[in-house]
Amino acid sequence: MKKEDLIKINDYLWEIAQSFRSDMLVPARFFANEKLMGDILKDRSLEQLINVCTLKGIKRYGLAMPDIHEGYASPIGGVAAIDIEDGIISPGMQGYDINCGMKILYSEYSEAEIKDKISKLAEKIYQEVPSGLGKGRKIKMNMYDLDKILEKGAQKLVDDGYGEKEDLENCEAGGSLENADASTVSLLAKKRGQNQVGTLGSGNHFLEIQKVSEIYDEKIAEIFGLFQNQVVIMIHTGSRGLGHQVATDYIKEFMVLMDKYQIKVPDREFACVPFKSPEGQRGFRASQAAANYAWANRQMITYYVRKAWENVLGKKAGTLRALYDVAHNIIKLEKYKINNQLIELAIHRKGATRAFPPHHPDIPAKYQEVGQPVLIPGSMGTTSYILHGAEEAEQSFYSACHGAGRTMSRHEAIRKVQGKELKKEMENKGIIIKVGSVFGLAEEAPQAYKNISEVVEVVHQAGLAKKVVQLEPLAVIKG
Amino acid sequence: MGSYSFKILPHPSDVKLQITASTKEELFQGALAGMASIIDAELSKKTQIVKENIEVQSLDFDTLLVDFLNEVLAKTDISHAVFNKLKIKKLTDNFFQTEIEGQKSDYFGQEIKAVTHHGLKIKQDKSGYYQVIILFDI
Repeated sequence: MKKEDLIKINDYLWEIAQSFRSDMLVPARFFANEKLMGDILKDRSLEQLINVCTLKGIKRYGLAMPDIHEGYASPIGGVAAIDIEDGIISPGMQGYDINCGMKILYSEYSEAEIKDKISKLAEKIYQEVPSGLGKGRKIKMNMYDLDKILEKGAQKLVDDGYGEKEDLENCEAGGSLENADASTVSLLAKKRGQNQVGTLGSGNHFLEIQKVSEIYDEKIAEIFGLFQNQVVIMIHTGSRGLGHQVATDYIKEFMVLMDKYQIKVPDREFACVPFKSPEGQRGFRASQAAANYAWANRQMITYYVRKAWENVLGKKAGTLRALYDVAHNIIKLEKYKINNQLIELAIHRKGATRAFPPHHPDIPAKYQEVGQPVLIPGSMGTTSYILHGAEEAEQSFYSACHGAGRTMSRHEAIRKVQGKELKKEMENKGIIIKVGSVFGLAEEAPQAYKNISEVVEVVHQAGLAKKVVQLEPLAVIKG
Repeated sequence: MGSYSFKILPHPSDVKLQITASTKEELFQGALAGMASIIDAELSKKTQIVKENIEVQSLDFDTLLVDFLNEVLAKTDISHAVFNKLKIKKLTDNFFQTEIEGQKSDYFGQEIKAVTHHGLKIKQDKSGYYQVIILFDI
């Protein structure tokens, strides 16, 4: 792909015409500025975006967010809006980590008020929230409770006393998707999920203690309950082995069915069947169940983080309140106007954060006037951002980016960056590091990612979401 | 006697593993050993040995390799063990029956989410060696 093949729509939006490749059903569009373009053209991400445009039932455009980078099937940062009447469902278009997502908890304290306790807090959180690599949590959940989690999500845990009603209000879909059906999830997937509720995983998953370092919109920050130098906690994880197995199971099943439904895809990882077929409906219900598991996982982590908070700061320290919890790998049913008709679409987001605008019926009452909080983490040790949903994001089916986006392979990062030195470097900046492996630290080095501020600026300027505050890390906790 | 080798190739977000083997059986053994190497588990000499049986039926030979590795991955997650040895019972172009052997571990350096079919094509070169590149989602 060359830059000459691209049509510039405006300073932040580019198009690849439908005529570029004969199997494209719609044009491709992606959000980027000139600075980000260099990295985007270096890998195969645009070729993969063109592949997204061949999916049956896709509407308007195959889309990609400014953190677009090469993955498998869809690029990371891809969004496909598929008509459920004549279109497909593709687990590969959401990724194996179903409902990988972000959650932010906010405290009543500023950094200065608890500065001497941050190290102890990080250590306690590290002890309370295992990565789950190798061994999982000590308690193995029984199948009855697991099925309840698959069907009720975070709501099941809140009912059992692992959280507050407000946690559900401030969570995408209330932490529970109604189409979930535990019977569509294989026994193998359930066995993988039995002792992983409340575990972080590895790779780019992390927990960070952060502070609000800059406020861009005072009024909306206040509505979100945020203030300068406030201590917040960011959680990034997904559906763990259970979700991975659900995606694996249905990709395998759909691959065999492609002949039956006479569907052809440019990459086997897009394996798909008609959304409304019996197999498609089972796959959809299983995907929703895995999404519920992920919300329960982040809820259980919240419970353990609060336990650590209380242990270190005492009962009088007040609770950590949930700002929001939002997915960035998911298939969701959402309604949009296509050719002046409101229709239901299966929005496939793979590394793209849902970003609903003000007055959207599916966001909590307290955010109705300003739109949902849009949580965008930076790479480890760099700044992260909280934005708010905006009406202009209708152009991206209300989606924004999900992070900075990699530019360097993990292998290359380990080769180029010494984990121990990176740890020292971050500690010299005052960031506390609690990690299981220094190699894990090296592969997530900031040098391996695009500049998050640049990526978020494109999101802001393109109107996909608007900046509210910037966050700086105080402590990084990783498996 | 057969032989295999593997090496990790660069990929922007995931891990690409290239396996070269003299026979189809060694290709499966090489892929298993390569995956264990990515997982990078901490093992001690006293670690408990784990054996599991796997039977996979697939669309074709390419898919069979990936489906087999995904089965191993699930067992890795459930039994907290990393597997790196095979005792093959039956291997055809779409069916694989084997015993896998590994060791219990309390810590994996790398979690693999799934073995993907992305760009998968098992090739045989002029000297008869099999080669494949597999993308692991991590």
